[in-house]
Amino acid sequence: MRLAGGVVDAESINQMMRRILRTFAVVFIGGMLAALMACASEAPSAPASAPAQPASPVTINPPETLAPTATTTTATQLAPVTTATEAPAAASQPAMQAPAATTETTSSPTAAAAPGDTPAVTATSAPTATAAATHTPAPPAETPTAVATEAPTVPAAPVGTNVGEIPPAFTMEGSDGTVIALADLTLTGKPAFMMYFATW
Amino acid sequence: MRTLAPIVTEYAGQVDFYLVSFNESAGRLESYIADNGYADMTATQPVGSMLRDLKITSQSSMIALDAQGVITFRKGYGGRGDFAGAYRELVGS
Repeated sequence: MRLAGGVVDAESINQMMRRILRTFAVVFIGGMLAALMACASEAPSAPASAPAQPASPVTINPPETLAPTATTTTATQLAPVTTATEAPAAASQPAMQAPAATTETTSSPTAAAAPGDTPAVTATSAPTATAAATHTPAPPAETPTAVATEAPTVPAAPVGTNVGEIPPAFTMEGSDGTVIALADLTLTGKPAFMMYFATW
Repeated sequence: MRTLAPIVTEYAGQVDFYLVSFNESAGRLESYIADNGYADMTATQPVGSMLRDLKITSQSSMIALDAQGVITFRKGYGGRGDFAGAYRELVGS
């Protein structure tokens, strides 16, 4: 066979083809290995939604910055609601409020943070539910106090002279000049007995 | 008055006993208390319209008040009623 630069035999062409194939094979296998290495290193560090970010979890995360903010807002939002609204039914209502608080917290940090920060938001919502659960037992402590203040209210007996009635105000005078009124009898805290005595 | 004796003795110190004059002098009441040994009984005279206000129309009427001042028992002269039983219930309550 004859080419531009001189005579090339079939043997040399065969060798060239082998070199080219070897080079391709090396490049191809190297590329595949590099791709595999890249996939292996990226897979555990970052979720599918954020493949471009570096593997370090510390830099992704604003959890320290987000978590306190979300917790404090939830605490301040929950506190007035639980104390003001449900005093008696404290056992059932907190369970109803907890999910609402969780969704509220989840929505607000998502709007504030970057889209790639989803794990940080999830981490914040969990403490929020705990804070709501710990906060709820407080209202029942106030409820017995209110009941205790209302309990002593007893309807007064009507005024009269029959059994079950409070006699009209009266006054009597002791032998030593002491004046004894009906109010004085009740102040002693003891029952009183009056006998109206006469001899004929 | 004989029904009063065991009650006064039994509940001395737990009940305030008042002997209110219907038409007797204070001296007569004092001697009656002394003669019967009612050490914790107080002799008193009604002031103003007490008898009329409480509708006491006969001697030996009895009125019992609980610690809140509510009438729990009342009986006029000769009127029927288990005074001792009623009074024990009052004091025990």
